[in-house]
Amino acid sequence: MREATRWLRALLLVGTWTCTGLASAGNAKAAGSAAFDPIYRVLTHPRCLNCHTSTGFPRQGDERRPHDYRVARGTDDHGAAAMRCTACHGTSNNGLFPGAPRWSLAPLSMAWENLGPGQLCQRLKDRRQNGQRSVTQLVEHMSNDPLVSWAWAPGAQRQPIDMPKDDFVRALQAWAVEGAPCP
Amino acid sequence: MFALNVNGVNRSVDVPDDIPLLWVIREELGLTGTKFGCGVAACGACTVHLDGEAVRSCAYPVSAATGHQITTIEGLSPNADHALQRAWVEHQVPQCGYCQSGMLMSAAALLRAHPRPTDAQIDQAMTNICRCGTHPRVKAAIKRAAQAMGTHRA
Amino acid sequence: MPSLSDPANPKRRRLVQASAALWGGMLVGVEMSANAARLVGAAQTKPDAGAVELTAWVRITPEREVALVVSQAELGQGISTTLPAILADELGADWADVRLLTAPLRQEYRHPKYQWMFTGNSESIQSFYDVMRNMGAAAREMLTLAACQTWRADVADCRTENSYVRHVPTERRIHFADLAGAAALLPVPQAPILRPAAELRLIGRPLPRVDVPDKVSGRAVFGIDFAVPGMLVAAVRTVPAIGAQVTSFDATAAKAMPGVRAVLPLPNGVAVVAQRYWQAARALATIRIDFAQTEASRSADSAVIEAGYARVMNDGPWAPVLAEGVFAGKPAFEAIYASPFAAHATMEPMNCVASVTAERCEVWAPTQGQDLAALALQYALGMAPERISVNRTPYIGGGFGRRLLPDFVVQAALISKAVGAPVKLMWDREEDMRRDFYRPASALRLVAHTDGHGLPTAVLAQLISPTILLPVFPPIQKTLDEKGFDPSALEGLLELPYKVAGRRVEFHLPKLSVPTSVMRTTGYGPNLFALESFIDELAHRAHRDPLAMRRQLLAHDPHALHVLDRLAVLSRWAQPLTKGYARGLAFANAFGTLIGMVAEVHVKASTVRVMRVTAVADSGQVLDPGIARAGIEGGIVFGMAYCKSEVRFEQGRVLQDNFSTYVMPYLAECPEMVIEFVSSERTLGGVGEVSPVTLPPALANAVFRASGQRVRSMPLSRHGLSFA
Repeated sequence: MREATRWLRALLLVGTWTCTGLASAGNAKAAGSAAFDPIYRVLTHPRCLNCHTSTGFPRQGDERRPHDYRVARGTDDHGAAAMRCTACHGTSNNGLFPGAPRWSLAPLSMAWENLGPGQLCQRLKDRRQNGQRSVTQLVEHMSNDPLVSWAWAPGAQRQPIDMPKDDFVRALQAWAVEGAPCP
Repeated sequence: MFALNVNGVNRSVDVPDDIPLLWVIREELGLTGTKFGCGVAACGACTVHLDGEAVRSCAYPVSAATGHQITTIEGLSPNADHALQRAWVEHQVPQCGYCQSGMLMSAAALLRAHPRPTDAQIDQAMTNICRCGTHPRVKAAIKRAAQAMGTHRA
Repeated sequence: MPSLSDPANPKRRRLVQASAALWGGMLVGVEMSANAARLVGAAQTKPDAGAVELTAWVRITPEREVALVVSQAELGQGISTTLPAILADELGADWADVRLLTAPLRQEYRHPKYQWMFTGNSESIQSFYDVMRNMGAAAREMLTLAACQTWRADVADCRTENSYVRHVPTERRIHFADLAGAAALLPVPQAPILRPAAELRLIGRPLPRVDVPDKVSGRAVFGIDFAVPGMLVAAVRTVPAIGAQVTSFDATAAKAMPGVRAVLPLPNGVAVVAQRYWQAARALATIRIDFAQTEASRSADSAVIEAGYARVMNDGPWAPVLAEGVFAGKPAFEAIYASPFAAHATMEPMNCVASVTAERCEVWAPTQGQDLAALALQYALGMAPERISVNRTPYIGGGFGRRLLPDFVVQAALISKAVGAPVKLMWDREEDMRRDFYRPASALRLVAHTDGHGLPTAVLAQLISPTILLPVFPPIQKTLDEKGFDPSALEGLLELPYKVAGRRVEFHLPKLSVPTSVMRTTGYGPNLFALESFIDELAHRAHRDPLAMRRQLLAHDPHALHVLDRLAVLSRWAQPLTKGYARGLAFANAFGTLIGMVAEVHVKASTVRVMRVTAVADSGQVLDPGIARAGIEGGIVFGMAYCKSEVRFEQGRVLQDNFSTYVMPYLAECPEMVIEFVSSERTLGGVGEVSPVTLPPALANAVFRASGQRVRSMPLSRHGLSFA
């Protein structure tokens, strides 16, 4: 009897510990979602996703159609020969076309098309895919890079990111502070 | 005032900074070989080189072109004798001819990046519009020029 | 035959009245005046100083060159090489020393039959071949006679070659330049003797095109590049909805902008005149045009037009055109095919330089129609014909029929008159595509009675098409009114190449507010898209090979059979293809030429890759194989464009007004092309418009065989398909 009770108590302890662990994992997942969701919303907005495509071409417009004029990715993500991104896109918006410094596609390793929040988060943090960036460097890049910032002032009739830039930066920092959890 | 280097010559133009380079080239500098076809960079008739790279000048503000070497069709070669121009004559490429300045400038930029281009590289690079349908001869002439440039010894 | 230029000719009077009604009476109000300008430089009506004119076609220059006048507009079809070469060949000129001059508007350069100066309908060579040979021979005889007068020799002992007259027995020779003065005094022979074919050196060979060097060097001057001293530039914006009424526009900001000399109201919009185009365009962009919809603009709407066509397909009315033979039994098969509106979209947008004073009007235009332009100017300006000069620019960035219309010429002239200075009018691409005279949208019902083998024995054709001819030939109004059909829209239906015993053709002529007129292939294109698709559908229903079926239907025509047989070999018709790959065939007798075409495609999901197109053409004789081949190649791509894009309207707005929405074929989409010409004793046929006729149905037939999807209209996007 005492033997069984001790065994039962051990089992209960393990069970409790397991449940608590699972609950923490679940809580952590929920916390990751809460922290990453706003970031996910921004990164999958057409202004970002149109260049973070997994296709051999950029996308264009809120409907994300293949870029007009048969524009292609090219071997270095900067367009085909004689059709470089910079053949038409300058370092700032002009009357016709969007522009920002170093206008180009993101490399395929940073393609986010069709990724769920968890997958995108993992890819974002994967140093082999993200240009060897730490979380701190990631946050810095997304907060300050002019090409990223373009998405909030895309010019002409283009819809900017629907979250104020400051809020996005705060969301990034909050996510980083929590250990950059992934959903 | 903008200082422009066009076909190796320094020129000075007095235009607002957002005027497309195309009109500066055609109207201020009188070089009419570069053509207007659409005004939205769709057709490539306006293609010139900026430091050897193709740009579509109808959508390129003149302010972005200062401090760079601009080359137009007139400056592609001294006597219209660039290998591409010779190949264009050999293959009798042009029909109406209006798109051809842009075609040649695009092709020259292609060959600079890919001296022996594959079909796929030609297909990706040469998006210029031609209503007369000279595309098959454009492709053949590019290959001919690549061959000629490959075998030529200066 | 009385000339159309003769005021006493009743046909001329009708042409003038009709054109005045259509084209005259455009008025412009003046808001600001500008400085007058002096014009220097003459048109090429008179020979340059020192040049000797032997005939209207042949001059000898002080530089000892033979200068030949080119009557036809060089649009890219190579006519400025081929026609002068025919003359030079007959004359015996050294082709390397020939200089070419663009013809002014003059009686001698008019179409010999129609007495009207124009370039179109793929008939320049057919129409001017005899003129070129005769004028070459005439000049040869004049020069030879002049030489023989010097030598006291017999003309029968002389030959001309390399710009010399040579006396064969003594080997003496004299250069044309040294004979010109004497030769010019001699009468022009009215019935010169032509060389035997064996002596021709240029005709039949692929010649280096005379315009190619300028077009690869950037030196070619197109209309848009043309300039005269003191010239201003005009940018225009007409109301963006077809047929809408301008209610107001505010030009306050525009008038104050740098370089702007005038802002002028147009009947349907506004013109800004400035020193530079970029100044005019910038100022124009600040002007907002307010407009009101009208009945015309509301009906310039694809949904409205298509609904109208559907109603007519159901209920008519139909004007009878042709009825012959017997319709036995019951109809076996019926289908309705549709072709959409298409834009010319020449690479060079519409433009024109005009200099109008109180005394004179002079224009320099990339035009295909000098006579109609001159007539329209007479009525728009109220000026006598002898005070009007219509000069054609030597290079024209594509025509396809658009430049037969005089609208942009008249607009330029009216603006010049209003500002009192020479003006270059330049349309931007949006203006060009919104103010087009579109290839009309048409719908064609075909009904066949068949025999026991599925072959058609009788065919009923019911065609709905707006006018093609009216804007370029106003007198056709009489036919439209009295007979209810447009002859050009009926091309390809009135004379079927196939032997079919019973035939009825009926027509419905909608009067649309959308302007329509001639565009490369005219009526043949849409009608043969339908007919060649229909024949294929009949073949499929009868479980017959489409080529074999056509051979049977063409059994009476050995030339057609020869074309089909060559086509079968070259296209490897009988060779099986793997799943998803298929060949489609189309045959046409169009513009005097027989053409058979096979398109080989790969259909995968919703993409169509055109792998290979084979074309065999019989245009009688091929005068320049290189140029003819280029015409077929280019036409295949032009045909693909008809399959790729269309123009649609919404309450007057043109939904496709630049190349971003009117997407043209890319080099990457172009197929391998195999092209062969067969010679025959058929009369000379035209080559420029035939391959865009057969490409769309060959493609549709191939897509069906590859995928099971039958498309009865173009473009492919209507059916969820696209080119790869």
